[in-house]
Amino acid sequence: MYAGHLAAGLALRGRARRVPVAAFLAGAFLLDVLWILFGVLHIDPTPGNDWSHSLLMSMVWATAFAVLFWRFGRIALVAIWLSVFSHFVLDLIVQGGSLYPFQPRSQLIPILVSAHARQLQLWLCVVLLSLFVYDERRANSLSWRTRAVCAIALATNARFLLGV
Amino acid sequence: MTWTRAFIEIAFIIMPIVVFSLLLQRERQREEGR
Repeated sequence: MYAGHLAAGLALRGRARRVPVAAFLAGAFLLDVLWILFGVLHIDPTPGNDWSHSLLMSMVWATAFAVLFWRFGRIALVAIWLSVFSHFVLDLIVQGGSLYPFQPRSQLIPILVSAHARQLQLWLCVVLLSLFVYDERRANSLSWRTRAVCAIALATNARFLLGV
Repeated sequence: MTWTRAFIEIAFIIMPIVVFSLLLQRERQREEGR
């Protein structure tokens, strides 16, 4: 999952428009950034990347990240928290997950077990981007730039459709 | 994970954040000006 995280960050942006969109996108990818850091520094020895991607740790990281935005208000804090936690949810749908580090039976089963899983990911992305466009339209901010963002986000699906 | 792979993955994350922020910046400024 890659484009879906982008779409989730964009979809949540409408909940707190005073917060920079970069905060939502960074939040949506925070678990992957931690996964990269833990991987390259050989910190996480678990098979399911539990220290960055498990249910418990994703809630911890989401809380730690959301607290940075407390000055934007409670709704913004919840929206930012959800942007981080959405990573766990989307990964759970597509590739499964784990509950906490060093869980004996590590992997939760992916919800989306299908021969067409990649195409269904694309549709998941479309649904989330539709929510983003709906919010932009409601805020009277729909422009060619918004459409360009959607087009780029959809195009990034090529990354997993091609298996890159 | 190798450092090369890590840099590529980080680039894949940073690039859309920068591009989307720049593209949506104008709308945000317009909203704040209202």
